Amino acid sequence: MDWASYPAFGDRVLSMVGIEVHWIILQLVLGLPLMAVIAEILWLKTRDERWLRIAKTLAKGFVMVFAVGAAMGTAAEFGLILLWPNLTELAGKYIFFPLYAEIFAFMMEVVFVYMFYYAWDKLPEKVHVLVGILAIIGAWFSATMIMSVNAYMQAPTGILLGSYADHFPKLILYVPNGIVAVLNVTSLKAAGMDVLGKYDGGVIVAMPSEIVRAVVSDAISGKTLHQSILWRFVTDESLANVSVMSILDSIMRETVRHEGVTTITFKSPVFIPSVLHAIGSGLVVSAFTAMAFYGYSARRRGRDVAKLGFKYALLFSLVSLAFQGMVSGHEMGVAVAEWNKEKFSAILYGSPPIVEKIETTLAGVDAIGYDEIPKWLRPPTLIHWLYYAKITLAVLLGLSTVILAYLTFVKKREVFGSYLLVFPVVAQVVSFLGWAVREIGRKPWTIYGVMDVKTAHTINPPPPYVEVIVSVYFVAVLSVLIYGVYRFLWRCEEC
Amino acid sequence: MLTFVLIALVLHIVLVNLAIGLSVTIPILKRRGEVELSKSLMRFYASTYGLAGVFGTAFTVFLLAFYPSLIGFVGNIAFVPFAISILLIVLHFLSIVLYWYGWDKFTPETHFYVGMTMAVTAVLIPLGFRAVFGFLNTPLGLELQPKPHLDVLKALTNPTFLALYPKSILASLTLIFTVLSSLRREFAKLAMVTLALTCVAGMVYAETLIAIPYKFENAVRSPLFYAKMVVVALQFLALATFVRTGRGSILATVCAFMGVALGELLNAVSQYPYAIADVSALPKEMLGIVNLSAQNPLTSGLEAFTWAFLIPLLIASSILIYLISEPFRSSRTKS
Repeated sequence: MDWASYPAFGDRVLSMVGIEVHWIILQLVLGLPLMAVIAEILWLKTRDERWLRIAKTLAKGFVMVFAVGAAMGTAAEFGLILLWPNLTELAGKYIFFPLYAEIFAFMMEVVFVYMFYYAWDKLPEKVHVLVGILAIIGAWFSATMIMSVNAYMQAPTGILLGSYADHFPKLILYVPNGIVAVLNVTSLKAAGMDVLGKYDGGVIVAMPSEIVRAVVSDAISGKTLHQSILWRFVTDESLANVSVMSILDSIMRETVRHEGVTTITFKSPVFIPSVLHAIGSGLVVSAFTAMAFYGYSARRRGRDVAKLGFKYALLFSLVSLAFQGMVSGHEMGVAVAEWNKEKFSAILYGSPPIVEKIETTLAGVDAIGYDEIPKWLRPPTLIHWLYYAKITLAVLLGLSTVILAYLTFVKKREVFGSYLLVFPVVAQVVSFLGWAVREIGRKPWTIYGVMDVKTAHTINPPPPYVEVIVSVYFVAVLSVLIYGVYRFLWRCEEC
Repeated sequence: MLTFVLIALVLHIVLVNLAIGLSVTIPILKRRGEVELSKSLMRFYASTYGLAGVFGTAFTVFLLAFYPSLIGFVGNIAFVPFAISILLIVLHFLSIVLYWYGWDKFTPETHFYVGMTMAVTAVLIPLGFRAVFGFLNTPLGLELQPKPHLDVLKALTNPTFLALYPKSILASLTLIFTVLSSLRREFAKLAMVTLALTCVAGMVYAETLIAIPYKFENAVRSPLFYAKMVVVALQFLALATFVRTGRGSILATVCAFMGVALGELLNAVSQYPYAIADVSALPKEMLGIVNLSAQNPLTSGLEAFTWAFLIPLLIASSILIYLISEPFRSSRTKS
């Protein structure tokens, strides 16, 4: 299916641009503080002033971009509220905890990132390192909270997969006795619902996503029971004017209470690989950016500090890329194959049999044929191309880095040059493509198995020209920021 | 939890007022040749403005968690005012980065224009947010047919918004002029002028609230109202004393901060428990959404978590401000 054919194309693109600009910048805040703190520790150990200078330059780098990244985060947050208010409402009702905790993560980031840079000479050395570690924790804590919500949107806690003929996917729900009493269980079972057991106060069921998404849609659009899909399962006609939202609220609150108000998103089966992959991406992008900076600087000025910085960043790139490719990337792939079967199928759509065989062997699961997926569950096949473009670029990036490391560390050659600028750009493109596969591949869902894109979307979308203007505006802001970093940091004589 | 949200709101508003004032005065001071002072202030601003944003985000996320239906409703109708503010915030943050890091690198003219961008965006950011605050006073422009939406032009004619916005900007200028008066005595006179203008704007705003009896009556009966009056009077007296004798700037500064905080608290609390004060203008089915006494039941039990993080982080924020304001403090001592 064509990506543009899903609802709200313009607003999806606008969200993509806004979030991507935020992500391009924030990856540097995930990785550069770690690199700066390690450099500072090396300075404390060796008292080699070059390490101190490297630490300060890296800190200046992430402080410069942090503000605009945070502002773009605010833009992304309001973008969610304004373009996808119904998603925001549901998230606020049921999976608010990580978003709430993110307030404090963000506060940690702001306080300690700025303290690390602006109060450098005002704090004792070891306290300063501690401040740096707190800045890293703040940034990673923030990423973890946001990624837990995103992981829930990819594979919500309680999602069950199985044969489409048996009405899968299904969502585990805790239905209070008061609601069970007015439902026709036989009809619901015929529609695919499974009764899994009882809990103190109600019944645990596995509800087909087809029903869940229709109920969520009815609730959001303010329908009453007699206007809803639920009406054919209700036995008490006096409830005709009860709002569907009140029924949904009762069931979801019970479900969230039993799954854990503060833990529900962290129980998503794709949570851990998602967090590792996001942080890994930040480390890779940061390392390549620092490597390009020092390579460029060493070529222009030939200083020892730049040469040392280059070697340090190159080694960091190699290690982080290996982690990203062989550990977090692999785990992410396995999680997608296991929990996002339709996405996995769309990724493989049109692949040669040998490639499909390799992918399924690596993932350890069989893929379903794209044509076997019911039409209403099919993701866009565009992600096939995006995924393989990503893999190709990542492999090229990895091989090039190994060659650079060989020439630098084994052959002791100086490989500095402007061509190194390609590395962070490719790393950013790979990161973007991976994220695009993740998000575009979730369609037609906004929350897999729970809420579709149309239901999440605002009832008052902006006109297309506004979407274009705002998208161009975000890209322009990013371009000016990149120019600023180039002018004030990359060309900085004393860095 | 109400304490937490009020702390977040007050800190956000106080820091934002400081930010607007600094953004306007720093490029002008530099243009007038006060390079050292403007650079000290800019260094302070560049390292602390993120705190204002953090507390704004905290306030928004609190509303999202505790009143998700309200956020869902506002999100569906308020694209234009919020989008204006958000796009300006992004540009403002960018201009701060360029202004600070480009201090000796741009030509003076270019640097000044970057500074003016910082100043203008700071003044315009509250335009959208105050339009929303005006809407929360009385939902002018809310149309329910054929679907709920906002008639933006009508919303912009909201008299409470038209009075509140200039009052907010004048209050920001009063705050920064009062703070700076301890460094340069001529700012005290400016502060007195803008304080007088803020009082006039405040009276106009109060006049517009008479049409919303619930809020107006709550406001004039509130102890916060009388506390605010006393604080403003004290600020005026302290500034006048400072102009004549050179003493009283600390009292004036404390009063300036308290005045901003009390004003915002008064505005927020006087319409409680309604998110939209003029409930008579709303259809019955919306009353549940705007009633803030009915919060998301799943949020109970967040207190311990909130305070466990908030208290150390507030202490850390204070340490950051203390460390960063060292040149500013020493400059004050010298003067």
